[in-house]
Amino acid sequence: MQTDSDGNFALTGITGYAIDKISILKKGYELSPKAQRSFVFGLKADYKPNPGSPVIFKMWKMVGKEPLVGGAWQGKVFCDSRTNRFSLVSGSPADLEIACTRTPLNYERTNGPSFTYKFVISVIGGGVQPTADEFTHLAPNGGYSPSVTIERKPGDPGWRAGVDQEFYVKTAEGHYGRISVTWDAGHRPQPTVLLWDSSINPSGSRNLER
Amino acid sequence: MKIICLRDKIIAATAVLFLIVVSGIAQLRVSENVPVGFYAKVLDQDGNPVTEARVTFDFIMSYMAENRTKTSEVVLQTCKRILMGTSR
Repeated sequence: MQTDSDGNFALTGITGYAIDKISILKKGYELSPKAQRSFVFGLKADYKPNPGSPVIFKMWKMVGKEPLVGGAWQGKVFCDSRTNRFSLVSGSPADLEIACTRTPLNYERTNGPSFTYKFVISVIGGGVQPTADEFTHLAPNGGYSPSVTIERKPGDPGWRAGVDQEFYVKTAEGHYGRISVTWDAGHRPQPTVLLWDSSINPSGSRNLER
Repeated sequence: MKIICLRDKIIAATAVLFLIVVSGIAQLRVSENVPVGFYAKVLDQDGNPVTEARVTFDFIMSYMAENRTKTSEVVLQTCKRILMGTSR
């Protein structure tokens, strides 16, 4: 099946329970990794057919991949506000700072939220900004801050025991990139587990296609 | 003789109960498979339609069926025919 001249496609005239693992391919395009891939029609339906309001799938029209550099790290960090220093690009001077705080440090596990936490990420001499973009293939021109703080306490809407977030970064040299961070703030006893993965375009272009 | 009659009645009642349960499950299966209408649109990052993109998917034909795998050819609205392989 192919999309028509308006980008539409439809499935009708059959009976069943669900669509699973939908895949949309076109050379030079990439389907959003955040696209919903399954739709249930039967029991526990999560989709109601409406020709006037089609499900929108986003694809990224590639402009061309460029060589990206970066780094990755996985390890344990103490969550007592101490600053952890890393290099956004392996082998280069430390320019990424991450500080994690959990209060109380040692907490009793309960069914609900049971601690406050603060996550601070900074790029020395550069900037950082969180993103929920469907694609992170093009870094924004502006909007960067020297550091970003994510703080949640019990009772906050959307409280979860950690951070799972993507950020755009701009290095001190003016190179654009992205970093994805996962921090398991609830790990007991501390130290907690932190993972990050960065991709930087050393050419100075904002293109982050990979 | 009475004992045999009682046994036959128990067997008959059990059989009827079994049929009721099986029938119920069958009805449940039918009720969970519904007419499908799925409408979608593919856009690029600038909101332009993406034409001639190839769309494939698995289709679960029968909920609760022990063997959910089924391959069938169906007529679609915006294309001629497609061969769909299902999962599980």
